[in-house]
Amino acid sequence: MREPTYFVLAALLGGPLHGYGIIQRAGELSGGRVRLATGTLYTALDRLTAEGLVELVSEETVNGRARRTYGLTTDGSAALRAEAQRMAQAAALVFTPESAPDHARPGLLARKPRTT
Amino acid sequence: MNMGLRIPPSPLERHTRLLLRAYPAEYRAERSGEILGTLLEATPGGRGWPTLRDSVSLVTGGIRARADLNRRAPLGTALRQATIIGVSLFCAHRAGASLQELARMPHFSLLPSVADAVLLILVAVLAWTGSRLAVLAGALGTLATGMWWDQSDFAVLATLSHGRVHAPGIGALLQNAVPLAVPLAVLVGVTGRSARPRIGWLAFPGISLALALTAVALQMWNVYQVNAYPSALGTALISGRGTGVFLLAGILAAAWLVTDTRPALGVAAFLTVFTLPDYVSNTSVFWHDFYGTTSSSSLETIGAGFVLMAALTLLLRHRARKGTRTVS
Repeated sequence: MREPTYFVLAALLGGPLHGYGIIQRAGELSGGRVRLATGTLYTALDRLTAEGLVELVSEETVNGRARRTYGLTTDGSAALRAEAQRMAQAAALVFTPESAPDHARPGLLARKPRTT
Repeated sequence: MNMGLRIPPSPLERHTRLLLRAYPAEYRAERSGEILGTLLEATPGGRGWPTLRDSVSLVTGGIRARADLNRRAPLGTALRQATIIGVSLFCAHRAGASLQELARMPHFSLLPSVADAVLLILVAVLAWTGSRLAVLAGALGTLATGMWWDQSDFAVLATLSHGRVHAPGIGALLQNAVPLAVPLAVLVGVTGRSARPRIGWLAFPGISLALALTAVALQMWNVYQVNAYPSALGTALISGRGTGVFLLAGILAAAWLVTDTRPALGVAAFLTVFTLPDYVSNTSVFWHDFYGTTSSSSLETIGAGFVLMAALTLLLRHRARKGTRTVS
């Protein structure tokens, strides 16, 4: 899962949001690192909706324009958690040495590499 | 009272709407208001244009939406639409060749072939309306005009005035009618309301005809003003080689840009009807006569282009299928 996709899903964890709300929330959650461009956001929303990870929750008209609110589906929530778990396991390799497999332990990593 | 007064759109809104044209019309009708609203909220006040990142994302998003739409079209529909594009290109090209012939040797005896050219253009345009009956009527009219022309005294007059070899009779009739009847019959077969190409694709036969008309203008200018080709461009246009290269380059670019297989398939159809009769019958006199200075070497170039197009088409289809399977 690509980073913008991850943060779009993560932004919806707290509840349904409209487009601009998702951009703001993703920016906050990533500490300002993920700045979603408008076109990128809607491309991601279209794809996630087609895959059943996000759904349209409500639709209203503001200043004569449609404003749609999107929310996470059960599948979306599960996909987000699975991705978070995968990343946590990957992070654990670095931050908790005892949980890492033998070949990835710092002690072993610190060995002088064999030169051929 | 301001009721009923419409507030003019801000420059930012106008410019954003311009960028939103990258999206297909169906998508725009449903989503442009929402995307515009989000962009206006996200853009700091006082700006006349969206930020560069937003502008790029809208254009790339539009291209992706178009690609997605194209991918969802069934292969059968895409093939039928591509054939309409291809045969329309053929009609426009042949009509242009007839007009060039008239410009080269202005003579009233060539008027029936101009009527034939006008009918061909009409048939090509009718294919875009989706009415099979109208295309059938136009195709029969074109063939009838062509046959009458072949059997008429005008043909003899044209032979005398141009010094061309003309052999009236059923053999010559078949030789001239078949290369026209086959593509027209195919066009009648594929036309239908369910396979109307988007009106924008009409630009390709339109450009082909416009190039031929430019060549006609250059020829007229040559005949009456200067007794030499004015430029390399003029020569390329008159020979038809420039048209072929232009079509290949333009449609290849369009095919990549919108990841649509239709232009590629269309050009393949065009090149097939354009080159196959020559390869099959090897009647180079006829093709040389009809297409001006079309030589066997340029036909080979076009043939190579056909192979390239077919390969590209298969590649694009494969990529599109792979794209629909990918979950990110």
